[in-house]
Amino acid sequence: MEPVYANIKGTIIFSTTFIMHNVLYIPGFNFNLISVSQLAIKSYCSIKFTGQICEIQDNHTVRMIGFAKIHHRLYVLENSKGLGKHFAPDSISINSVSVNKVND
Amino acid sequence: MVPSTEILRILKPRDGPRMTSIIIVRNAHIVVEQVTQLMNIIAYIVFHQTTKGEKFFVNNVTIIKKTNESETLTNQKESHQPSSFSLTKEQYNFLLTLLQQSQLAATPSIEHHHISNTSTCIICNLRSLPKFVLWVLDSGATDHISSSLENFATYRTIPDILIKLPNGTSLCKH
Repeated sequence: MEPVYANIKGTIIFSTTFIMHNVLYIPGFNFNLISVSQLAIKSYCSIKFTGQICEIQDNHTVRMIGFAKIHHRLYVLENSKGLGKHFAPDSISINSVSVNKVND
Repeated sequence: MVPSTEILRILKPRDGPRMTSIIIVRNAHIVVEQVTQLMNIIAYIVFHQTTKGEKFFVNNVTIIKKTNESETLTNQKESHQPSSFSLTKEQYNFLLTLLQQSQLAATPSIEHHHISNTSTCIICNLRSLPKFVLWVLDSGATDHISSSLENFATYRTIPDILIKLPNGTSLCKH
């Protein structure tokens, strides 16, 4: 087995309020991991674990931005399938694209 | 008063991780799986096609969230206040390039189906679902980690970081 290096990092957006920066890309992994410490330190979140669920709360807005449930003894983020399917902004408009003829 | 949106046809010129699709609808409303940032938003283009085949961009494109697995369209404009974006010249040029590329692939199909001059063509970049979709909260992880680039809204290369695993070695996790 060879050492694993990460040389790509980026931003993952679960919702307009739940954005994770400095996420490492490691293709060999079988899971996506949310670091509790990074969430608490860098994202200023409070993370509350209870027996069945975990709530991720933004310390500034005091709103719940994420929610995890126990699956096989792991706290798995809910609604992360398809990224933002649940959390996606309801409506966004692009107002500045003016009428322009497309040159073929 | 916003008229309801109707899908006329969905064209999928080619497959791939970032498949380009063309959704032809009656009104300038399209559905996106993920609206995250400007670079994603500009993958969505709405233009009118006249009977002569001329295409015009449309003002006030409204992107409305996807409601289920299929490419259905919804209209929630009345109940939600849209936010606004502005495009830089560079991003606008990118739009043009993307549009022209997509037209090459889709033109025969559009002609074949005789789209009327009242139709609106939407070229959108449908993202395939991430390979691994589970996100596990891990107090033992020093960093957030994703195994699929599809999850990322943006990313960049960085100097190599050696990944250390709990057994003290630096090995690939399977």
